[in-house]
Amino acid sequence: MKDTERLRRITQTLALIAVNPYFVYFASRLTYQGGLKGVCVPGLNCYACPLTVFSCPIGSLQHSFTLLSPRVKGSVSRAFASFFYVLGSVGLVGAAVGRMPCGWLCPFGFLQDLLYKIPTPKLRLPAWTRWGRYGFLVFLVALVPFLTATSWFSRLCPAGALEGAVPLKLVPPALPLPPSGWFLWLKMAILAFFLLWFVLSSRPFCRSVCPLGAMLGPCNRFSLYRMAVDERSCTSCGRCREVCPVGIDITEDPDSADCLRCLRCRKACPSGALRAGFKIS
Amino acid sequence: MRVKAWRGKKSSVSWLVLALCALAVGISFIWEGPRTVYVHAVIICLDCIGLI
Ligand code: SF4
Ligand code: SF4
Repeated sequence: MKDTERLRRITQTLALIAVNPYFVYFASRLTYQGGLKGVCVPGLNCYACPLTVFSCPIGSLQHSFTLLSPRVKGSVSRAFASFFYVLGSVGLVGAAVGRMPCGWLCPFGFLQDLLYKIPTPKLRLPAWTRWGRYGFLVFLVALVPFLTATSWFSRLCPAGALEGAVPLKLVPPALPLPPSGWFLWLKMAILAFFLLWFVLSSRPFCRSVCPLGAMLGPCNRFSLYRMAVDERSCTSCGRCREVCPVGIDITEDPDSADCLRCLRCRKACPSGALRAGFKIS
Repeated sequence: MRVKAWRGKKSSVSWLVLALCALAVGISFIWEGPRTVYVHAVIICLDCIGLI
């Protein structure tokens, strides 16, 4: 299991650097304004982060819903263009590799993996909490922004607080930000809650909250990259479930929408019963 | 060898979804492509996360 984990740490670290390489900000105090900002990454990385050069797919999707809102006039065609663009981009990734970016690339997933290593008593998440991420997608990313024309998911998002609000407050941009009121404290309280949860439970945000996980997860059912169980080799020893960061039994459903395709189970299986790879035809 | 969720599964669904998503991205370019995403990310994302 060590090899897979080491490789995963390397890809997660490289992805973190590749998505947030704009250290010029510290000298210029101006955020990146180039064309890459129009590209959504397959992971949760705040587009308000002063170091990032890419966009967040969830923030962008949510913005499409605010543009569709009856409170915003004359923006329907922009909303649809943005919808098609964002959903198409996420769908391309999902259809190719399913939820694999969650296991191997996403910076917020990486943070959860690291914090969970802190030795403390751990809390198991009940399986029903997985429905939370669909609720956040439908209500906070779509319905509430549509009704209020305000990006409520991003306002409350702990990734936005950690990668956007904290660095921008510590190293302010050239055009100074207005003074922060109680809302910044609310954001910090939400962030603190999640950071503590990341120490106590394995990947709780990915399992229960993340709307991008909710979109990519069902793609595991039909993506070109698949996992499978050789039922004759499997001895039902349960080792795969023990090591799984999201606590699922891959032998029951190799296409589970919860699976991050991290491949810890495949490496841990003593009888080599788990397969993973691209099935092109 | 019996392999759960591997054999008998057609990759045609994957290819179909890939084609539809590529089409969706292509169609977005008839309007403006990533322009709205870009403008939002560059200009208004600070408002979006509640900083301004
Ligand atoms: S589910 Fe987790 S790993 Fe996947 S995009 Fe969301 S935060 Fe990142
Ligand atoms: S089932 Fe295996 S690949 Fe999927 S999340 Fe669990 S350990 Fe990772």
